[in-house]
Amino acid sequence: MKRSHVTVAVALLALMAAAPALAQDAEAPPAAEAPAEEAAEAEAPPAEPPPAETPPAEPQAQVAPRPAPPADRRYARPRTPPPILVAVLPGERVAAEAVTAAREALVAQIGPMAGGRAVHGVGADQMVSALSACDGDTCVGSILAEAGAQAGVLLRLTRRGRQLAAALEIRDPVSGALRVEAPIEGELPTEPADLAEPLAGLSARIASAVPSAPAQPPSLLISTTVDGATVTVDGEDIGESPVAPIAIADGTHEVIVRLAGYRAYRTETRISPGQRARVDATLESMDGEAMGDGDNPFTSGDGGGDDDLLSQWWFWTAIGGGAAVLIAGIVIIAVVASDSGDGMPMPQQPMGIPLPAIQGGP
Amino acid sequence: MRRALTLAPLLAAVLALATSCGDDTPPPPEGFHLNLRFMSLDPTVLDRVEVIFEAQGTGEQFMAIEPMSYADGAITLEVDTNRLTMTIAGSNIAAFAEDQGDGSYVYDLEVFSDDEVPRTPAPSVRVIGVRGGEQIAEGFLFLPQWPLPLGQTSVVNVPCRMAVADRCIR
Repeated sequence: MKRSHVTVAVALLALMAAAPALAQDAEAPPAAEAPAEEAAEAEAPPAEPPPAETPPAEPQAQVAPRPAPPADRRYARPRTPPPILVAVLPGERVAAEAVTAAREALVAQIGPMAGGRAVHGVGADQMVSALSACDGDTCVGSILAEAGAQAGVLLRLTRRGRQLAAALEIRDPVSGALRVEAPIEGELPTEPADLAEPLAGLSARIASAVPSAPAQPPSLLISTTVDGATVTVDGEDIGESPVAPIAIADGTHEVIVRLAGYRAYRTETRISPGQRARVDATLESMDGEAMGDGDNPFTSGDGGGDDDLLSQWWFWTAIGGGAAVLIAGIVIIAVVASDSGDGMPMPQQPMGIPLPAIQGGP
Repeated sequence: MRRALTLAPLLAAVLALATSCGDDTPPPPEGFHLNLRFMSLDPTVLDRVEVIFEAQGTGEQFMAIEPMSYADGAITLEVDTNRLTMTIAGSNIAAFAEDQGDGSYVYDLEVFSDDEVPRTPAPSVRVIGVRGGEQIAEGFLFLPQWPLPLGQTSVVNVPCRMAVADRCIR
């Protein structure tokens, strides 16, 4: 087989090899190039669990919108925990000053135990009277539920002679179930200033009964180097920077920060329960001066964003395919040119000095 | 993956280009070797050597050609009636004659003829060594066939003439 035939075969193989690569690229463009809706539909959920740590926040040249996160991944709305109501229910001939002093002493005592939740001392005569008039748990529970309380701490004061007697109840709302009942041994002093000390002995009982403070929901603070950027978390618009910390469910969340004239910033952050996470989004300007990767002439600065030419699939495909076609063309032309004399074979002159022919003779 | 698929045909094309490089033309066939064997003669004393081809058939003669020169003028070729004379400069003989170790020197003259008409008998070859205008050596041979058989070798013994033996050495 002639070498030129081998050359043609290899060149054809090169073109055949280039064709499927070009075809595959053309048929299956990456999701990042597809329109947003198509990308959202085409992108399958991640097969692997999200990374255990927050990946390094790097500017992303292209941002493909994600499908809406499932309901359990949406960030939690901040809510104020319901308060603990403290009420002193006086019996007959109990001085109002003693009631007030006892209530204030209880509020001061329960406050530190409540984990930052509100502790309201009920001073309204109407509610106190209603609670005093209740003869069943349901009555008390309904009043506490109507007040939006998480629990009710009720101190019943009665007068025994010249002394006071007290009994502590901690009840649940709605059902009014008695969680703790703690009668106070002995008699209380009638002087309001002296009530704090005996009531302090109830601390242990109160602490065991007061519901523990719920865990703080995790929060996420997103800071940007440039104000006015649109911040989205899991596809949900949070607002324009600067944005306040948001309460968010634990798990992995996608944070995207966009601003005209800047590269879109995208990162994923994993938030643990109770974690107060922070994402610092550094926006890189599209103009040459602020480009983080140097003055890259292949990066467009038209504000469209995400147009890094070197990262485009068709750029490399065009380079590779074009070069392959060019080289193959040169090879084929050279082969054809070299074989063009095949139709008229030229006798090859032997080595040495040619001698003229002999003519004449018989 | 896409870049690999793009680079693969590029690499194949480069290999194709590399494969195409090189001379596609096979070397020319070997000519007919006429070995001039100088015997009892120092080839460096020769001013020139004349190789005379002479057609043997009746009415045969070499086709007339313009005088030609080869090897940077060291070898000339001319036709005179029925004789073809090739003149080789003494310097060329001295440069390429190889010592055979037996007192003889062999100069390999490669020639060919593209004449398509066979001639029988084939032309003869007479070789004359000249020094100072004097023939000091001479040889003779009938070529084995005409056209010259490519790849074959014939030896022409060119001994020093006894009468001028002292002229054959320095």
